[in-house]
Amino acid sequence: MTSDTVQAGLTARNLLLGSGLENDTAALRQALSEHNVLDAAGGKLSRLTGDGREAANDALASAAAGLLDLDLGDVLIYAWRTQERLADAARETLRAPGRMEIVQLASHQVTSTHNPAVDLMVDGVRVHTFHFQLDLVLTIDVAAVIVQNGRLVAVKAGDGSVSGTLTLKMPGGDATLLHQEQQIDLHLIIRVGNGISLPSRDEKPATATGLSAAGRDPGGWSGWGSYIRRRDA
Amino acid sequence: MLRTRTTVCTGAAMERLKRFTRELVVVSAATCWVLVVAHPTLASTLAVAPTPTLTAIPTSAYPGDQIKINGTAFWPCEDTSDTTNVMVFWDEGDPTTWTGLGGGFSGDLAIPSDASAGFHQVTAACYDPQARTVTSHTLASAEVQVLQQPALQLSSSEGAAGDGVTVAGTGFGQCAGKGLGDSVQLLWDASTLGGAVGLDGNGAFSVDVTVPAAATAGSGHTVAAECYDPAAGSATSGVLARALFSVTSPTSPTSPASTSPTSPTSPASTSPTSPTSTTSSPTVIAGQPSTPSGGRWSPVALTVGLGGSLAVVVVLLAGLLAMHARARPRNSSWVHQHLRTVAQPLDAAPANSRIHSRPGTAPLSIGLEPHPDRPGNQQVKEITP
Repeated sequence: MTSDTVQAGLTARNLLLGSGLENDTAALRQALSEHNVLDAAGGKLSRLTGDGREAANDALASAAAGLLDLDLGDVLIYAWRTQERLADAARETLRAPGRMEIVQLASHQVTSTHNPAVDLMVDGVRVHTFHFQLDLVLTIDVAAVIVQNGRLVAVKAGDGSVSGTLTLKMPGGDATLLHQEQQIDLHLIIRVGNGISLPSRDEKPATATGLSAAGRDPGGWSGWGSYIRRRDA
Repeated sequence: MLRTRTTVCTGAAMERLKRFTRELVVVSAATCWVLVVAHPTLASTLAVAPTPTLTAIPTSAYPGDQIKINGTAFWPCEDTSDTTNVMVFWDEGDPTTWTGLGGGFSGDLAIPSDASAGFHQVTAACYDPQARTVTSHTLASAEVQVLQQPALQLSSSEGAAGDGVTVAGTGFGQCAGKGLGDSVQLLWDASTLGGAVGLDGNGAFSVDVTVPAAATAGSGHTVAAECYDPAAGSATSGVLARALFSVTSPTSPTSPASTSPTSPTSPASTSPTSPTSTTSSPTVIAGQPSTPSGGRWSPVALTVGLGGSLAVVVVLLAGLLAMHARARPRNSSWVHQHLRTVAQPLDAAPANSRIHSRPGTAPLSIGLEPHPDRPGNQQVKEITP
C-alpha cells in the first residue's frame, strides 16, 4: 500500500497505524486477534473469560502500539551519523569554525531493525514474552544537507520512501501484523532544531556488538600474513 | 625468530603473558619482546594461540527462529583498532558481516525460514570491510539442529460433541528431555483436553480424545498442543501447534419428551382419594392442604373437569388481588408501625463484606510490561544506479 507524501513528525506508529491517536490501535487489535496471538501464552490464559481475553488482547495491542513511537527522522539521522562524508564534513567544519559544507548524499537505503518485546505477567509472574520485530526501510533518492561547526544544521532537499513492517515471532513462524509504505519528504520529517552533532572521523561511532557498522573504516590487520603462514606451516 | 616474536607479542599472547608473569611486570609490547629474546622457549609457549570457537545458543531451533552466535578467539580477524571483522555463513551461504571487539563477537542469527529439518553448519571467516572480501578460510563452525515444525493431524476435522477423534502430533521434539516432562497437553480452545500425553523418541504422539460434551456447534474450534510437565502440573511452553475443528449438530435430534416412554405418574395423581374424574381435558393442580393432617403436610391432587374451571379462575383472581395489595404504597403511619431501623456498628462491616468467589470463575490478573528497542540496528547501503 502506498499513500501520499507524509507530514512532519512521522513516527513508525503514524506510518503503520495512521492517526497516532490513542484509539488508533484497531488495526493492531484485529491483527493480534486474527493470529490468535494470546494462544502463544499457552494454557496460562485458559482461565480468562471471553471478555477478559478481549481485554487482554486490547491491552497487548496498546502496549505494542507504544513500542512504535519511533521518530523516523531520528532513525535516519542516527544512521547518517556514521556516513563518512558527513563525518569528514564535521571534522572540516570543526577545524574551521564558521565554515559551511553542503554534502550531497548519494541514493541510499537505510535499514533499521528493532526488536521490542512485551512480557506477559499472570498474577505477577512472567509467563510469556511476545517478541516483535519492526523493520523500517528508508529509501532516499537524493539528499543535500548542510554541516557547520561539526553539526548538521539543515536539510536542503531530499525525498524518498519508507516502508514499515511489524512482525511477531510465533512458534509456528513469524506473523506479519502490519505493513505500510509511504513517500517521504526529508525536510518535513527531520527536525534539525539547533543542529545535530555529528561524530568526526577521529571519533568512533558506537556500534552494537555483532552488527555491521556502516561507514566504519577499520583498516587492515597487520598480523594477518604471519598468521596465515603459521597456520599453514 | 622475528616472525615468531611478531606473532607472540600480539593479542591473546599478551594476555597470556600477563597471566604467565602473574602481573608482576608491566606487560607491554616492548616488555614482551625483551622477555621473548631473553627466553626463546617462552616464544613457543606463548605462540600457542587459542583456537577460534563458534558457539550457537541454543543448538536447536525452528526455521525462522533467532539464535545467538558467539565467536571467541578470532584474533586473526582483528584490525589495528581491535575491531574483529568476520563474515558468518549459514551452510556456506547467506553471508552476513559482523563486527566485534578483541577477537570476540556476538549477535543474533535468523535461521532461514526454508531451512530443512536436520543438522546445519554456521561458519565464520575473517572479512575485510575495505576490500569487501573474505580474507581467510573458515576458522570455526557450530552445528545447529533445525527442528521439524510441530504439527497436529486430526482423524476428522469435524464431529459432534461426544464424538471420538484421534489426534496425532509430530515435531514435538523440543518437549522431550531438558526436564520438560516428555509430554504434551492437548487443549480444546483454551481448556485442557484430556490428560498429559507421552511422546515417543521422535517427538511424536497419537491419542484418542472425545469432543467435549459442552462444545457448541460451529466451526472455529481449536485443538492445540503445548509441552507439559506432569510432575509440575504445568505447561512448559506456549502453544506449538493447532488444528481447526468444526462441531456439528447432533444427527436426528431427539428431545427427552418425545423419547420418554411414559410420563412419570405421581403418587398423588393416582391417589384413590381423587374426588372426581372426568374424561375431558383433566387439569392437575398440586398443592398443600390448608390444614395439617396427622401432623404432616401431605400433598394432594385435585382433579377437576370443566365444572371446576370457574374455581380456578376465582383462585387466580384472588392471587392477583393479593399481589396488588402487596405492591400498594403504604402511608407513613403504616411504615412507622411496621418497620424500624437498627444502626449497625461500622466495625461489624468487614465481617459481613467478604467476597465469595462464584464457582466457575477464578480471579486472574494480567500484566503487560513493554520493552522498547529504540536504538535498533541500522545499516546504510548505497544504491548504485
